[in-house]
Amino acid sequence: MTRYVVERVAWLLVSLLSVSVITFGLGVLAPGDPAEVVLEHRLNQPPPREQVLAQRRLMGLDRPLTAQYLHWLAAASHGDLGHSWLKGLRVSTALGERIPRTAALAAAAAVLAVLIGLPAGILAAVRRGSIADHLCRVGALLAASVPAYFAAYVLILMFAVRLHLLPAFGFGSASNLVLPAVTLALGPAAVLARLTRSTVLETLGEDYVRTARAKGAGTVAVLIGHALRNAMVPLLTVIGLLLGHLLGGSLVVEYVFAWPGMGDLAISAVHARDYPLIQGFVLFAGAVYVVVNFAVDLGYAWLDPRIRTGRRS
Amino acid sequence: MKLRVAVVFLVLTAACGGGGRGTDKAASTQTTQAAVALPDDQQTLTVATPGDVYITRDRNLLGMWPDNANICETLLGVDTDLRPVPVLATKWSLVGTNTWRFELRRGVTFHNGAPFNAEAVRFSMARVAAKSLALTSFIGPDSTKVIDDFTVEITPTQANLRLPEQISHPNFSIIAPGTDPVDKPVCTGPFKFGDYSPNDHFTALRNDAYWGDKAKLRQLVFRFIPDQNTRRLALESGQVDGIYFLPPQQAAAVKARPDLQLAPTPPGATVVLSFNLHGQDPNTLMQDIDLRRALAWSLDPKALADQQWQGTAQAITTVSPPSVLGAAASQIAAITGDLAKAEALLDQKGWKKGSDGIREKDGKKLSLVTPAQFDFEPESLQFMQAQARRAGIDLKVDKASDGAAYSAKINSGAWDVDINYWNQNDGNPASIVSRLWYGKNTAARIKFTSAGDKFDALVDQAVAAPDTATSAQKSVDAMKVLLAEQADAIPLTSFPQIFAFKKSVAGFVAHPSVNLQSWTATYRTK
Repeated sequence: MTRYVVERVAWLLVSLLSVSVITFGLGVLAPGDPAEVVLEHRLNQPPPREQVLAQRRLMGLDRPLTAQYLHWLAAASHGDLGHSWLKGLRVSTALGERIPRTAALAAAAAVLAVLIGLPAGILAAVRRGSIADHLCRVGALLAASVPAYFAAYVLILMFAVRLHLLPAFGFGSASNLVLPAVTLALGPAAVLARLTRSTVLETLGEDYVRTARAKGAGTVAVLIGHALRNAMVPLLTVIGLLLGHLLGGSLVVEYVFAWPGMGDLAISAVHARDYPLIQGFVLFAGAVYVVVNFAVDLGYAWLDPRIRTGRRS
Repeated sequence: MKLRVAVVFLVLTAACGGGGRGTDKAASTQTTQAAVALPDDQQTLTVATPGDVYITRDRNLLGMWPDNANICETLLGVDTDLRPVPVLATKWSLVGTNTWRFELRRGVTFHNGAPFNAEAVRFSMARVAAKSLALTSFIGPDSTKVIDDFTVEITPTQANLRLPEQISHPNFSIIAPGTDPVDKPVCTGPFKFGDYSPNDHFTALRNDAYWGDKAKLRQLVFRFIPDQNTRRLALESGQVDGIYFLPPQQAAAVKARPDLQLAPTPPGATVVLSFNLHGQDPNTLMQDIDLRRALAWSLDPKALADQQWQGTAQAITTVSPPSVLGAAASQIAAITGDLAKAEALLDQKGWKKGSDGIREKDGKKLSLVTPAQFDFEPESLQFMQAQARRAGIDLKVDKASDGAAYSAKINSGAWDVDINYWNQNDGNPASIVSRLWYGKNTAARIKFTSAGDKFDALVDQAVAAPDTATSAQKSVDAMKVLLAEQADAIPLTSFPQIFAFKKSVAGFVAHPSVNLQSWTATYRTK
């Protein structure tokens, strides 16, 4: 197990380093002179040439690329991602304000997706061919097909305009979180339900499940102790990917519900060619994917002894 | 995109129990006057505006522009006919050839208790110059001279007889000396700063020590909701009392509801397309006057006004609202609305339609990068795209996520056609021409839009004209060069901004410029 963990940590570091190279490369390959863009933002007019040259020196843009990268990496490893040209704030401050909000929304949506998707999928698998199965499948199809903005408006109409139970927009209280989290959870819940149904159905047909049943294990014990545990390996992969997707993909939901998260910050940065902020966002999103996948890898080892002991069937 | 719009429209219409098409002329600009006001402790009005512009722009204009919470005041204001009226200055006159003398109101104090006087005006105007807020007023760092405690003189750095009209813009707000609005605006207005939570809300509280008529509202809250449909739904849910910028397509449905009312402004803004006249490759297509003319002919402002704005807007031939130009406005002929002419011109110039309906020549598609302001109404953008496409012109619309992103795109020069609406914020007939195409304006966008010496000379004359009528005539002369001779811009419509409120909101009088909106007479009723 130790060797497995060490291997995964090594891959984690290599992946993070690759993300940093790509992120830095984005800034280098981006069109336009960063020094000129910074000054234009500051002066709101085209800057004189000598001022641009001075700014290039100040930003270290006159040094070799390797030196720039190492300097950037050293600063980034201490949380210093430079200054946003758009907002005049430190990138870490701008991201630091938004990350918790998006993370809260993503976490709530992920929990909801798992709480809805897993039981629904299990129910559909166990009651295959029943009305419950059909309902789950149709529900999953609808939830996966409906665009997030449409679901958002329908939920606002229903729960804010008609029933006055929840706020239509805003941020700051638990009630504000409900509608955006439900909207965001619908798609992932549908994916999880469908995947859970198929993987549980597959494991229920395995020899070890038949053996367990033959030895007198009850339905619940078979389901939890055997079928679900084995079905969890592919499910864990999908949950990991969904979490990464939720953290980076809540733009539409954030916009509709006026939820001040990472989404509109990232879009503003792209529109304004605010490269430090774009780099910060890409670095964060890349790091999240890498770390979540690392956690998923550890989860595999915990779920499947063959992985942690290095044996393969 | 069309599907998305259709679906949203269907859902919203269904939720409102239908709602036929209809028009809502900008006749009524005042919400109902009800007899019974709510008690003072319930006089909190919550209004939803588009996104928080203060988080992406610097906070020098916090609570002043574009969301004006009436915290700060200017020396002069403009009434609903866009004529200058006294505010913190009681009298003004031209002294010499380019110096304006202002006599200041006495007995006024700032929200921090400091007295308002000539030194405060000097401090504020120096800040305007230092923070690049002077627009085209030519107020420099040393332009303001204190004559005595209640008299100042302002001498622009170049001839500018439009100054009294210009300084009604919130950029020229008078700030308490020694304070910085970036932290907290301290001014003289009927409301004072409450609190600001980025991306969430801005609150203003009534100033009980105000020198004029005190506000009826105890508290005014702006909530930031970027999505126009959510803004409307928030109003219908009762979470807010009013909203800015209701899309005209939704006006009839909102008006049909018994609990809601509309308050459109008189038309005070114009939709104008500008061209990148001096861009670098690949943004050089619009340097060809024939392409500019063809795009202009392909667009039909009347159809835009009638179909998209449902009769609330009017097609225009000038870049400023005709109301500010008076009789001179009629001298400018239309350069739009003739599809056959557009197609003939493009055919003649060798632009042939490809299999996708978009024209091309020498392997280059007639595809134009078209940034649009973040709060521009999406349905109208699609309408313009569809019209241009009939002529084989592809407007690749790139709607900005916020004002700063839009400015950054324009200032970068990586665009061909710019779609925006422009507010007439004062009574200066030369306001819009000098902001958008005037070569002496130092704004970054001018590098790409400046219309040349002939145009600049006429704007100079408009700015230096001794009276408004002459200024209007000179502005129209400049527009003749801009539009008929050079086709450097395309005027489309003049339109109202539509506020919507609960029926229980009374006393609101819509100003033609939303940036100058007054909230003092507004109150909530039972």
